[in-house]
Amino acid sequence: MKIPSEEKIISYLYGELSSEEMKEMEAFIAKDPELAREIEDMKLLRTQLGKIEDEEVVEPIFLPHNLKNNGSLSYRLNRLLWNPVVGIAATLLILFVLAVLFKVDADFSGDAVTISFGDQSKNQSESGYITRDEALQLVKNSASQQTDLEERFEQISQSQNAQFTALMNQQNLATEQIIGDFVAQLQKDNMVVIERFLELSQDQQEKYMQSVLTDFTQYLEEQRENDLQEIEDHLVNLHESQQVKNLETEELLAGIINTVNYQYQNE
Amino acid sequence: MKPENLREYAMMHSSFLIEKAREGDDAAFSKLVGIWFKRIYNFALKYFGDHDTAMEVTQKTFIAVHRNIHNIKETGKFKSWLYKVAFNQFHEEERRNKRHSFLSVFSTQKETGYVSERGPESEFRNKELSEVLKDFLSMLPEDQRTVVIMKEYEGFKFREIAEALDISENTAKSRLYYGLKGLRKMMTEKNITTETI
Repeated sequence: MKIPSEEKIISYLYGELSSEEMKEMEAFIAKDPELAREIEDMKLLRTQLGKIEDEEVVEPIFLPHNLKNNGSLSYRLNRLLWNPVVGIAATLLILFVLAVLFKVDADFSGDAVTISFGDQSKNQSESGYITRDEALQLVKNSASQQTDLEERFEQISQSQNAQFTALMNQQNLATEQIIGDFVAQLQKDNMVVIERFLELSQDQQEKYMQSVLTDFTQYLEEQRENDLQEIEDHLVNLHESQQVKNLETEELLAGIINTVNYQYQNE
Repeated sequence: MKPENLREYAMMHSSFLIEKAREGDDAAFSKLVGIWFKRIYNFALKYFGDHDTAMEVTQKTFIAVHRNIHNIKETGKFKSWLYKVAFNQFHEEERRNKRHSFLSVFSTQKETGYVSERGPESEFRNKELSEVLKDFLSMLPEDQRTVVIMKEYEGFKFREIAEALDISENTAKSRLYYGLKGLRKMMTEKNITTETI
């Protein structure tokens, strides 16, 4: 006996065989315990696979502007800029430029490492060390730079917050618009469905009432005919009984007359 | 033509959205994303077994859909077309992952197979059956995995699978057969039997 192909086994498993093929397959299974076990295993596996449920997920916001620019030069440039390797290279380049601009100098002579900014001869006293005033000035400058940096950071944060809030508002408006449209569409559809239902219902009620009235008229007509028939039957019966009574009366009178005549003759 | 029931209404609404999105209506496209995102995400999640990758490829899928939606000829075949786009994105991601794992010194456990030092039984005890199955699914060869997910979870007919993957119906059935067999084998190897379940 030829073993069924894997396509046939799958068709059997998913109930896609014709009744004839199904019988043929069942005959195979009955004769081949290994095939029967394989199919049972697959059925069990399908039940187990059914236990994996869908995960809930919130879809991200797809801004049309972003979608349209995916293939554009600016999009590619943007992606290039956010590439980690390009980022590291750019950072190194910036550091190098800053080092050149601020004349950074590292001195590894002696036991100490000295990193200096600007012209070394100006920054250092004759003895090779900076004076107290110079140190204080440096600290003051540093504090001032720090304050400037903090202010700039604050300004950037505020600007980003404002942009974020504007974006969120825009998104909320869009979502409300979508929900509003959807609800309006639903209401419109519901109204159409209800109207159609009422129309159909009214038509059916009219038809029903007409049929009821027709049935009632027919019933009355039949009832009237039955009553008339019954009255007629009664009249016939009455007439017949009247005739019988007349006959009986006549017979009785004849009997009385005969009796009187007999008595009279005997006298 | 007026819809007679809810299903017909949904079908007409979907066709209407596809038609509008094809004409460049972004609001209609957003609605399509809303309808299909969860399905494609779950398809991707079962395919890769990882939330981050699934999110990424799902987003890439919809970006590709937006770029190519004007190419759809029949709105009735949108589902097959969408899954075809998704599958192409998955394939691309898989190829990229393989290249990265080849270049990477630190190969992940996933690429080397479902190996556990603690032994299969304790591994199984610590995981729900569905989690283990998800892992097994993501370890199947790509072509078998796709067909198993499309048939078992996405409710595709064999004809639709064949259409979406550009293969014959018999090939789809054959891949499904070997996919299911592969899963059974993995379960047997990890000693997950009817008794243990």
